Order: sequence, then C-alpha cells, then structure tokens
Amino acid sequence: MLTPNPIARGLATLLALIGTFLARDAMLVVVVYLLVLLPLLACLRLTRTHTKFVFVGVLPLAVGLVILWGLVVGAAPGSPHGSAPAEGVKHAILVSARLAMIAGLFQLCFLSLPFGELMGVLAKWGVKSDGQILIASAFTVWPELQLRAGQIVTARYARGLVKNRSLLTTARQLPFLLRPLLTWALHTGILRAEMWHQQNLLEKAREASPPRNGTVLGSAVFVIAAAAWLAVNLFPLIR
Amino acid sequence: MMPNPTISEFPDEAASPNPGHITAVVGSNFSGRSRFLKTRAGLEHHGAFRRANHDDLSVYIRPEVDLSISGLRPTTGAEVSYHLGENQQREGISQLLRVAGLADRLEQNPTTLSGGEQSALVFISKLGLNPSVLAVDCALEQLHPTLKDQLLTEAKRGEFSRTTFLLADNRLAECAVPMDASLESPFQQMGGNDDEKQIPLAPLDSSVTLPLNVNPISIELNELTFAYKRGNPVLRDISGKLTPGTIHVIRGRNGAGKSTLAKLLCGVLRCPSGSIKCGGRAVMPYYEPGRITAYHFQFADSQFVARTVGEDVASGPAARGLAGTTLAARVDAILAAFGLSALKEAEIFDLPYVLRKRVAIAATVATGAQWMIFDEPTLGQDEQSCRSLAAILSQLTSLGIGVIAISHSRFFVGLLKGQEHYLEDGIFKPMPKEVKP
Repeated sequence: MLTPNPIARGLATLLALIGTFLARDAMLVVVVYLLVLLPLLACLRLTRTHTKFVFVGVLPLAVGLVILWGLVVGAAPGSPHGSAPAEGVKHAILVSARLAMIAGLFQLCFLSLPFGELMGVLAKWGVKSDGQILIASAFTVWPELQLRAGQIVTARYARGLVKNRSLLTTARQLPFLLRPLLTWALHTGILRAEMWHQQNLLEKAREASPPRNGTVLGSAVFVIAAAAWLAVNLFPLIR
Repeated sequence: MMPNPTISEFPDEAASPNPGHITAVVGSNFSGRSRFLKTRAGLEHHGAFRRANHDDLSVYIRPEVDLSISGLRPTTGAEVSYHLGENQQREGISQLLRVAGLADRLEQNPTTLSGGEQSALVFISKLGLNPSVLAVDCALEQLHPTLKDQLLTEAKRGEFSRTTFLLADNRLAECAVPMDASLESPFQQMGGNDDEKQIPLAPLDSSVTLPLNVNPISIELNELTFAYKRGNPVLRDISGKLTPGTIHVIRGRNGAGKSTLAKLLCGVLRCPSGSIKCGGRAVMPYYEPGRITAYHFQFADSQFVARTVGEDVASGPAARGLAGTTLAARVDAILAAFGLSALKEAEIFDLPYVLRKRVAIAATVATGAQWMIFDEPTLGQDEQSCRSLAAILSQLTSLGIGVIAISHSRFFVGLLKGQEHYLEDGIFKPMPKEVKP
C-alpha cells in the first residue's frame, strides 16, 4: 500500500540524501536514523545487510573519528585544539551517523527491489543501457570478489602453497590474493558486461519483473517525509 | 587479433540457418571451431559481440561455463527467470530443469552448483532467451553422457524449433542423440585460423620423462561423511583403500559428490566425520592442505595463482622447497610434456581455454605431490590430446604417484585402463552397465 512509484522513489531518496548532507545536529540524525530508517529497513528485511555494513564500515570509522576529534584534536573542526573535546566527539558522531543514514537510504532505495524491477526503475529515471550495466556491475562486483577470493585461497590450498591453517598463515595469503583477484574481477566484469549487453539480459530481467506503479499515498508519504527532513535541516542554515 | 570474417564470407553450409537442427562443429583443437562459433553468434570485426534484437539473438556459450552465468542475482530460479523475460511460463524450460535435476534447487546459488549442473543451467537459461542461433563451445562436456543425451533430445522438441544449434564437443562420439549435420570449421576451408596461429602451439608430448620422485603411499578412507547443508549429506560413509600403481577413476552423475570427495582428500574441505590414513598414518588433510594430495580443479581458471605460465607451474614445487636449477629443470620438463615450452612467459589469461586447461594440469603435476587428483582434465581437449594426457597420467603412476581422475568421458576412461569407482547417492556403488566404456 505504501509502495512509491519509481519517480517518487528517486525524488524521495534525493531529498533525503540532501537533507542528510545538510544536517548539523548529530542527535537529530541519530534519532531519525533509529526511529525512522531502521524500522523501514526492518520492514523490508534489510536489517541484516545494513547491520553488516554498519559493523564493518561505520563503527570502526566512528571509533577512529571519536579518537581523532575527541581525544587527539579535542575540538570540532575550525575550533582551537583542545578547546572542546565534547564538541569533537559530537562532530565524530554526526559524521558517522550521516554515513550510516546515507548507506541506509541507498539500501532502502536500491536493495528493496527485485533486481529486474530495479532495472525498470532505473529506466524510468532515464538511465540508459550503459548506465544500467554500470549499476548492475556495482551490484555484482562484491559477490564476485567474495567468490573469486574464496577460489584463489582454495587454489592455493589445493596446490600445497599454504602450509597450514593457522591465523597467521591465512593472513599471510592476503598479498597473494590481491593481484589475481584484481585481474579476475576485471576479466569477469568485462565478460559479464559484454554478455548482458549482447544478450539483452538487463532488458529481459526488466520484463521478468516490471516495476510496480506504486500508490499515490505511498508516493506522497515518502516524498513529503523526505521533504520535511530536508526542510528541518535546511531551515537552520538559511535562518 | 585478426578481424573475423562476416558470416556472408563463410561457405553456405556454415552460414545458413538450420532451425530445430543440431549441427556438430567438428575439428581438432586450434582448427578454428571457437572462432567460427563466436562469429556465428555475432562477434564483430573488432572482437566484441554484436548487440542483438529480440528477433535475431545469437548466443555463444563459452567453455568456461561459470562465466556464462549472468551473476545478476543469487538464485538458480532468478537466473532462469531473467533469461525468460516476459514469457515466464515455458513448459519446455520447466521440463529441461526437471531433466537436469534443477527444478527442486531453484533457491540455490548457481555458483554452488556442481560443474555439470552449472553447464546444464547455462544451456537451459540461454535456450530461454529463444535465440536464433545457440553456439555451444565445449560447454556440455562436463555433463554425464545420459544427461547430455536427455537435454539435447528435449532441446530438439517443438518449443525450440526456431533455434539453430551449433555444437562443438569433443565427446560427441559418446552421444546417443544423432546430429542432424556435421560441419568442419570453415576457417580451415578458408586458409587457416589466423587468430590462433599467433600463439606458438605444440602438442602434448608424453615421451618427456617427468623429473618427479616420490615415496608411494596408499590412502585409506574410513566412513567419510560430508554435507554442505546439515541433514543433506553429499557423501555418506565412504570407505575404501586407494593404492598407487594404478589410476583410480571416479565416475558418477553430475552432483554425485565426486569433486567434493576430491576436495576432502586434498584438504580444501574439512572432513566432519570419518578418517583418512595416508601410508598407514592418520592424517587430517584440512590442516596441511595440498601437501599429500594436489588437486586440479574442473574450472581451470579458478586454479591459477600467478600471472605467467612459467610462474604458475613453478609455484607448487617452489612452495615444497625446490629452488635453483632443480626447480628450473622440473618446470622446463613439465612445460615440454604439456607443449607449453614456448609459452613460458605468456600471460595465462591471454591464452585460449584449451591451453589454460593444460597449464592448470601442468601446475598440478609440477607440485610432485604423492597423490594427484585431476577433475575433468580433458575438458576442451581433442582426441589426440586425450591420448597424450592418458599417457602422461600413466607415467605418473609408474613414478609411484597416486593418480585419481574424475571424468565423464567414456573414451578417456577407456584410455586410462584404471580402477573405476562409481559414486551414487553419496556412496560407492557397483558400476551400472550403461556407463561402462
């Protein structure tokens, strides 16, 4: 019932992203993130994906930033060193919360759709064939890297190039992993993109699950909510 | 790369469509079969595939089938669905999925299917595109012969009558489905295959003495059980003794667990229950992977660890402590045996599939491990190469190395004259009559 149409989906995401970029109140971002974005992600069964990103990407960064601005610099950017450690911590929280929010918005916009439907939405936004291939590649590159990394390590095991399975030995495989992984990713990426192009696969995927039109109510709710979020963050700047 | 000719430059029998018919594209390695198939499937002069419209789609299935999987979404069902487009209800496709045993595995990630199952999936999904030409380049060689017959029989039925099938397959002689026509690569008729002439080619040379010296040991398997998913065992209480001196051939249907057994033996996978003894000593290959048993993967491309042919072949023996002239001598001899001497400095991924497969086998042999497992070593290899490869494997056994070969090729299995083990439902069973060479 609350599915937005493709244009509203794009517009709402854009407004919400701009709003997040403009946000200056860390607590407000955290509250909206916790009370609005996370429940939405949960409704669309994206909690796991999002949590993974937060734990791997956002939390380590947040810790680093808190140490940097709170302890090392001891102030927010633009203030004298050591003048306000609490402001430095607040700034670190703001940057981290913005990052989590932006990631969540992208996930909400792109990952909540079946792949074919997403391609349909992109077509409605005017993204042409090459652009769609680029975006589809972005979606496939991570699983491809995971698969190939596993295969390269497995190959090294199968050929007796890794003496044992201790943590240290496993960690030492990393330098050997990078070059073939990069070569492979480029090789397969090009071959796959050419295959999608030649066989019209993205078009076929669109046909297999055409984009839903969405409802007026859903479209309105998301656009209004995103516009409100933008206004809340824009107002203090222009006042 | 020399520009490809246009289709109109081919002789009539190679250029004209033949809907609903399967034409065998015959020829030895480097006869230009792959180039012909690519050209018929729309490869342009500059080397990229021509974008097709809905009514005139030509599809090329490459021998490395894992690269023909779209990778767009992580389930087998979605892979098929995205090829079908608007027309999701296709009885012919459903029937093919049932025949291939994929109908009840639609939720599985295609990359976790066995090699043969991936071949079947790619063949079926590309048929779902309803192409005017489907050019299959050795991609069905990984299929069990019975399954290949069933898929080709189904493909010739009404629903796919608009498709012209071009099939290059080194195992066609083992196929029970009669081909409607046979065609030699037009490149030979047109004065050779210029593209591949630029690569210095040499046949395998089984007369080269391999400088390998091992202490022969036997392997005992005791009630090995393995499951990728709890409650769904792929192997169940596998027991037996494998002794060097003969080639052990493991056969079985696609997805029977042959590669899984190989991965347990070489230590890629951990054995949750049961035990393995090597030379009478209990071992856990998982904790010393690849030391006693080296494994050549079915998908050769996933085996390479270096940039050039020479580096890749040298990596295994170097990890076992070989260095200097001893290492160089071993590498040179093995490259000579596999017809790769002139390609020592070549970048692996610049080579055609058939040579990459040889490099991968050579790299496994070079390890000098006491046991070596070769998973479908003859994929893409013509009859002469199969004969030479069988002779090389025989030489390995004469050197005391234990050799296990996994193959669906009745011809190659016949050449090996080894001890056959048939795997079905996760256990060794007596060889059914219909699969004997």
